[in-house]
Amino acid sequence: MKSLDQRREQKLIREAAAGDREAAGELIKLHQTSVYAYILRLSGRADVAEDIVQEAFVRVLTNLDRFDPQYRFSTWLFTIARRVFLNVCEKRRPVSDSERVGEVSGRSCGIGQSWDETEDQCQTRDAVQRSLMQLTLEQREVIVLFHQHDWPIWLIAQHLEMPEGTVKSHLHRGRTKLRETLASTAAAANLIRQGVVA
Amino acid sequence: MTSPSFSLPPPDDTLESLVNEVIDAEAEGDDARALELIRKGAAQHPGFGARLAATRAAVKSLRQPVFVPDQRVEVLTEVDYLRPFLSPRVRKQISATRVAIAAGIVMTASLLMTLQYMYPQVTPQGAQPGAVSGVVEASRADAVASVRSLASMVDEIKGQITAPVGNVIGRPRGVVYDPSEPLRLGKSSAYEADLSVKLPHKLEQPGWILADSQTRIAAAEKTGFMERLMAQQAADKANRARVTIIGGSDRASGAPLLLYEQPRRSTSVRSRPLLEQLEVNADGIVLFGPDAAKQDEAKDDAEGER
Repeated sequence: MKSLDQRREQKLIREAAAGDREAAGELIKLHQTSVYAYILRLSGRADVAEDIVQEAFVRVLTNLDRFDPQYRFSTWLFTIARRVFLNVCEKRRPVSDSERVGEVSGRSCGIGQSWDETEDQCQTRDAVQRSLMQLTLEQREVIVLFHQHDWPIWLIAQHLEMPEGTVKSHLHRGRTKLRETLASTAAAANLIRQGVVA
Repeated sequence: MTSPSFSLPPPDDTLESLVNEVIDAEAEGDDARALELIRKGAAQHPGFGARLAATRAAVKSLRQPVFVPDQRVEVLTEVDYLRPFLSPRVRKQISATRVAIAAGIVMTASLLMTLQYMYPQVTPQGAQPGAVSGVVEASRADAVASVRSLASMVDEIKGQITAPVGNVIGRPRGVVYDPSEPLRLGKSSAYEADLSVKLPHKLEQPGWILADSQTRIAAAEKTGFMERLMAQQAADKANRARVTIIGGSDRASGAPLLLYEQPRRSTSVRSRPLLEQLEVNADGIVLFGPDAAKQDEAKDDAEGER
């Protein structure tokens, strides 16, 4: 039996497919946070993430009649966003770490900063992202989907089209590498100081 | 930024595996198992606690909220350009139109059914040719083809049987097509209306059968078969002879064989062109084929030269 949220989402999808602007706006509002955070973690750049998320939403909303309701809308959206991201990666040259982090114009630090963040929080965020960028793309994706979006292993395996054992392997190796990279920076100390670690 | 404030011992596979199992168990909500693994790790590995805490901190850092710009306006503007949104009024009109069309179809069907029920004589649906008529017309041609195929197979099988070759009859003449004969199971000649011919005359005058060629008459009359045939026909004057192509061929000439079967009401042969090629040999077997026609032509030529 579908939950209330799923039924509401299905209704929004039907209305948006019928040409309802309000429903399309609601769908964007429901999913833009998660898909933006996902792409931001993968790309490490806010401007790239914005472009990719915008393109993904445009593709999804112009092809809503192709959506199969037996699947999750978010999974479909994430898949399309990932494809757009991989296409962008192929076209663009690799971006160095110094460009990735702290380069968003007009802001003191880089990734997804809100205006009421302290300098410490901002630096911690940059350190986490910098550590993430040290992982392979597969490790990064698995870590982000598992720990940031709470996706189960089987769904990640389906999304990335790889066996569950491989997903677990990427998860464990990526987790260890993330911890070691993070520990080698002063951000680790900040994490503890901010009380992120219970 | 300051230098790292703490450091961990070098990675140990067993320890790492244990830490990962704890994190996985916690992520899956299996607290009991996580607790058990923590106790085990703490007892076996001195640095387990610090490593677990560092790993937790690392993965927990991913959950920090991210500032997300609202992209609704940009996305909707682009989508509207590619696939224009519809105003509520237009969408209602489209819905209403669809409902009206569906209702119209249902009402029309209901009305037709009611009329058909109340006035079946006014609405003779079967009188008009429809799709089913077309199917029937098409299938009739197939049926005829099938019957012909079956008949030829039966003829071929008959030809394999070494039946007594007797009762042979010569070529009938003055044949007409008579389609009034009713169809019967196992008899395909009536389906082949364009190929079937039969004699309108009785065999009261046996010479009439071979009357087109004095040579053939003479040849047939020399045989005992012909005599028996005429005797039978004399006994039952109401019957007419029947000639059937039974398949097979004469070993010497390769010509197909015809066989007189029994006196019947009419004589049936396969086709008019074959009639022109009939010839009775010395054994009383009626032959037909190009040879007979050629012989006739050669004979005519020879007479012309004289």
